[in-house]
Formats: sequence, C-alpha cells, structure tokens
Amino acid sequence: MSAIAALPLAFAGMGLIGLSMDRHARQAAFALQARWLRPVGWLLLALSLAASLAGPNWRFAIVEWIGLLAAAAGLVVLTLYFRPRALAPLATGAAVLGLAGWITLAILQSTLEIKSH
Amino acid sequence: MSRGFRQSMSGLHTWSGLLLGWLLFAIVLSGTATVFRSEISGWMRPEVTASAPPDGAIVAAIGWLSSAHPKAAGWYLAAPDERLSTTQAVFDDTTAPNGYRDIALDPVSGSPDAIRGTLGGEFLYRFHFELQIPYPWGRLLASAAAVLMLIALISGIIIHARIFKDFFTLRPGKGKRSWLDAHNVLGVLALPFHLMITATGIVTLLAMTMPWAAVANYGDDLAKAFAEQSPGLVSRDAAGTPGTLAPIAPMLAEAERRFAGRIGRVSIANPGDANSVVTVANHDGDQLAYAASTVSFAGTTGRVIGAYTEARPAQQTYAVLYGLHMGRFAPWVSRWLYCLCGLALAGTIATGLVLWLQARQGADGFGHRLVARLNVGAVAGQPIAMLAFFWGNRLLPFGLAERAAAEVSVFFLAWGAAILVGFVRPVRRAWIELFWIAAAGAGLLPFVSFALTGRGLWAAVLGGDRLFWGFDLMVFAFALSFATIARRLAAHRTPAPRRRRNTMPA
Amino acid sequence: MRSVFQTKRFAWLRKRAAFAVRLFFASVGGYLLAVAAVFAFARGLPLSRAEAMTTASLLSILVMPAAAIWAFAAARARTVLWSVAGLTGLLALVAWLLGQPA
Repeated sequence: MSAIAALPLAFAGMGLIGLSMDRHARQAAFALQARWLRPVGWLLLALSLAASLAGPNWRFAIVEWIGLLAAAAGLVVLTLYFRPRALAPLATGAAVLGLAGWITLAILQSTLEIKSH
Repeated sequence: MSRGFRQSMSGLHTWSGLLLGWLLFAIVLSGTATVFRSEISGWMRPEVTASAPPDGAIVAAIGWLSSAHPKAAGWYLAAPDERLSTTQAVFDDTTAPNGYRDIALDPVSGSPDAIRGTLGGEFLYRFHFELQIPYPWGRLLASAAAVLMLIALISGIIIHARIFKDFFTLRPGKGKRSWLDAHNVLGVLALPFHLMITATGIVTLLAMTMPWAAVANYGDDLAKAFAEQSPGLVSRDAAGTPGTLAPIAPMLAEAERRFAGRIGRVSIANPGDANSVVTVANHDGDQLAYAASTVSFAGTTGRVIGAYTEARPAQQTYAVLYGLHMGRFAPWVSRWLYCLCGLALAGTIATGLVLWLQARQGADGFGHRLVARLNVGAVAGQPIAMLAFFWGNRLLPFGLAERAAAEVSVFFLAWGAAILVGFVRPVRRAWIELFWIAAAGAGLLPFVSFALTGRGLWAAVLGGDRLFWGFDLMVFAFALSFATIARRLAAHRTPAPRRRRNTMPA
Repeated sequence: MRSVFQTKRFAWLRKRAAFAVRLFFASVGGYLLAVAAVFAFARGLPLSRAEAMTTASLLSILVMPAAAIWAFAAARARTVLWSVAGLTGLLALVAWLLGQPA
C-alpha cells in the first residue's frame, strides 16, 4: 500500500540522479545543469524510504524499499532507452504524485486511527 | 587497481560464471517461479473451488490420513492460507517413486481423490534446489553453484570499472557493448537482491554443506546439537504400542492462542503410536524469520509438551536469512519485486553467457561452438520446459497412474528437445525458432486451459478470481515478451565478424 | 635455491603448476579453510555452544569467496600456498587447543 507513494518517489529520486549525469542529461535533452539535482535525488530516495516505513511492519518495509529502488532504477533505464526526453517531466510528475500520495496516506491513516479510538 | 589484479579477477569472473552458468540459469528461473509456487499450485489444480479455514482443513486432512496412511512415520502438513486453498501433505510412502508423497488435499473433505495428480508449484521449488538429482548430490551441486555465483558476483563488482557512472547506461545497437551494458545494468540495479539471494541460498543448505560447527562443539552427539539449536522441536522415539490421536482442533486453537497469529505448518510424528507428537509452527507470512514459533503437543492426549519462540541473536539471524530466501513473508508488492529481481538475475546470467561468445567473435574453436549451442537449450529451453509442464498439467488424463511424475517427465522431455534443437539447427535460427515456440506455447495456454477446465480469463475477472486471471495475464505477458525477442532476433543482422585480435581480457 | 624446475625449459610446467595451486586453493583449499575457521570460531567465540555454532557457520559463507579471490589476486602462487595452508593449519591448531566445549 505504501508502495503507491514510495515507488513514484524512488523513481523521481533515481531520475534526478540520472539527470545529474552529463551523459543522461544529454540523452534526455535536459539543459538544466544544477548542483542541487543529485542531492535532491538522494533526498527523494530517503523520502521514499520514509513512505515505505509508514506501513505496519518496518522490517518488511525495508526489504520492500530495497526492491522498489531496483524497480525504480529499472524504470529510469527503460525511460532513457525508449523515451529519453520524457525522463525529466516524468521524474517531476512522479515526485509530485509521490509526495501527494504520501500526504494522502498519512492523513487517511491518522483519521482511521482517530476513528478507531 | 593494478592491471594484473583486474585481469585475474576478470578471469575468475568469467570462469566462475561460465562453469555452471547454464545450471545457475535453471536454478534462478525455477527459483523465480517458486516465488509464486502457491499460485502455480492453485492454477494446476483447477478442480479445487472450495475453501476452508486452516483449522478445519487440517482436521479434515488428518481425518483422511488416519484412514489412508495410518502407518506413515510422519505426516507433514501445510495449512491453507489466502494464497493457497489446498492443504499440502508430505509423508513417507514405500509405493512412491522417491519414497515419499507430496500431495494436495481438498480443504473440506481432506481427500486428494477429486484432485488431479500433480506436484504443482512444489515441483519447481524442489527442482530449484535438488535439480532432480538424488539426495544429497543434487543439493550439493546446487550449493556449489551458489558459491560460484557468489564468487562471480563479487569478482564482477571488483572488475566493473564505473559502477556509478554507468548505473543507468544502456546503449542500443552497439553489438558487444550493448550486451555488456545489459549485463551490467541487470546485475547492478538489483545487486542487493542478487547478493542477498545468493548468500541466503547458501544458508538454506548450510546444515548439509557445513555441518562441522556442530561436530566441533558436540562431537558425535548431533542429537544434542539439534536439540540445543531448536529447543522447541520435541522429538520422541516411537513407543511401539499403538495409540490414537486426540482431537486436533483444540491443539490448533491452543497454538493459535499462543502465537497470537496464524498456524502455518503442522507435523505429526509417529501418528499411530502412543508417543506421537504434534508440532504446530506459526505462519511464515507473519514475520521475516522462518519457523519463528512452535508448540508441541503429546499426540494422544493433546497436552502441551513444548513451546518455543526463538529469541537468541544468532539463531534469529539464521532464521531471518532463511526466511529472506524463502520469501514466504512477502506481501504482494514485495513478492512481485522478488519476481522482477529474480528475472533480472536470470537475465544477468543469460547475457553473461552470450557475452562470453560476443567477446570471442570470430573464434571458431570447439569450446566456442559448444557454448554457443548449449546456450540455446539452456536459456530458451527453460521457459519452454516450464510451459510444457503447464500444458502437461492440462492435457494428461486425470486417471493416469503416477500422473505427477508424468508431468515432470514432460518438463524434462521438452527441455531435452530444446537442447537438441540447439545442436541440430543453425544457432541463430534455433534461438528464433525456440522463442517463437515459447511465445506460441504461452499464448495458447490460457485458451487450452479454458477449453479443458472451463475456468477462463473472462469468468475469472468477473468472479474476482485473482489467481486465475493473474496467471493468464502473466502468461500472455510472457508470450508477448518471447514474441518480441523472436522478432528482434530475426530482424537483427549480425555484422560479419571482423578478423581482429581479441581485446577483452580472458 | 635453483632447481631444474627454475630453468626456462620448464616454464610451461611452472605455469601449469601455479595455476593448479591457485585453482586448488580457490576450491578444495578454500573449503578446508572454511572448515578450519568454523571449528575455531565455533569453539572460540564467547557465546553459548549453540549460538557459537550458528554464528561460525554463517560466517563461513564468506570464506570460500574470499579464498577464491585471494587465490587469483595474489601476485605469486607460492604466496597463496603458504598463506592459505598456513592459515588453515593455524585455525585448526587453535580449534584443537580449545577443545570441544563442555
């Protein structure tokens, strides 16, 4: 369930890290060369871990997150292979979706907890 | 890194990968299928539509076993759960080909009679670590293969020059370079998984391959070693006098109460004896560790004679590593990730086998030709064998004697045929033809299944039967993938090999 | 100490022997090293018998890959021979001196 937020965030993170590399920035026709790209990418990966940990079992969550990282990186590779120019917009969209999803899940969980008390 | 070191690690990587690469591909692919062994088992027993709560199913199973196999030395049962509706029963049987039976029992009646004889997903699971080779050689070979794969992974990490720079790099249309990119991407992106699954794979067979720690600390009193390692497993010798089992349902209820969770596996040692022992383990889906909690009962009275939840750090570590490999803890997202990463590992091995040939383009020695031909049957033959196994499950007559063994024969016959095609046809044509056969075998399977069982994709979707529509969709997805591969292979024209010196390190 | 084996005529034999030594210690030798390590650690670790037994077994998984890498990375085959055989012997001695725990 938390993968709904964790996967897009991981994809966005991996995507930004990819775009911070010269070769892939050229592939993606991505002109912005900013020093914050890579750190923000890492931050998004950390956020995806936090989103995973929102689930009930933190041990399961860590295992799932490591797998999600692999899946997210694979999706970035596929994007660069088939539609490189879509990587920047997709990564941005995924970051927004992921954050929105995480906030929504957090709200839902807390309202359900309030209801059950 | 000195050039000599890189070259020696490159050699080690090549040889550790090549020596048992074909076997490793089979192990990894069947292992990946095993992630969904419950679902595969459910698909391969389409006549089972009933379901029952786990307690009731175990009671029914024991009822049937008491009348059909009262003299067995032990009954080993796995209770049904949300992924599998049948009860799995393993017990010794002198009439069986391997000396034991591994069958599914109907959850309501406890009897296997209305279900077709099949091993289901259990075959792929056992093949994965036993390789259809008699005990203990199959397991030893699988363990050796796992050690070689660990060596290949570590040496591969050492020689990979630009792990971070080339993390996302996949360049099409560059021949050998593209294959190397694919090999690297598949290997690096899921590297934590690859390392984990290989090391934990070795852990699962450690009791057999490295029993020396027990010898070191206990000498020849291995019974005491076992007892200290697993204090919860009460083991009593048979008394020799007959005894009847007390009602099981209260024992299961007591176990559930102690676990504060679901029951998983139930084993009854010496069921017809006065000293029978019923051991209940909690469900593996509830925590990472495998067999975390057990309760043992005296079989004839139902009295609790042992209860244990492992809390010691080394034992817990072992159980968690074991559980990580088995993956039974995994909720559905993690389960699919295990499957994807397993496919990535299989792809790493397959691209590695092809790469060995690519690096020696123009070479025409016996070794080169042998590898080229073996690759075909080893790689393309595996999915074909699995599909043949599923076709056999639908086509073989219900009443066939030793039907489960017959299905297994179909698997190996298909694999053998694929290997033969690799030796008889020109190599490139063989790849294309086998992938088209795999695509057809996968694409037609759901239709054949619907025609013979009546459980089709449409009805499954309408009825919310996730197992059946999930299976059909997966099979269609594989059919599409195989067809795509076949078409790309056919369209791709390999440039004539140029006579130039081999530049890749051996 | 020059023997007939050091002459140029036997270069091919030295190469084969060096490779054989490396291969042996990457495989059989590596396993024997793992066994010796398991004995030493199972007896030597300051844990209960069962805990030490399990810990030693789990640690042994790393020994064979390490031995294989060392066997091929070391500059000379002779080094592989002395180091792995020596370490195996040393661990075996430690295990024997420790003796089976009570």
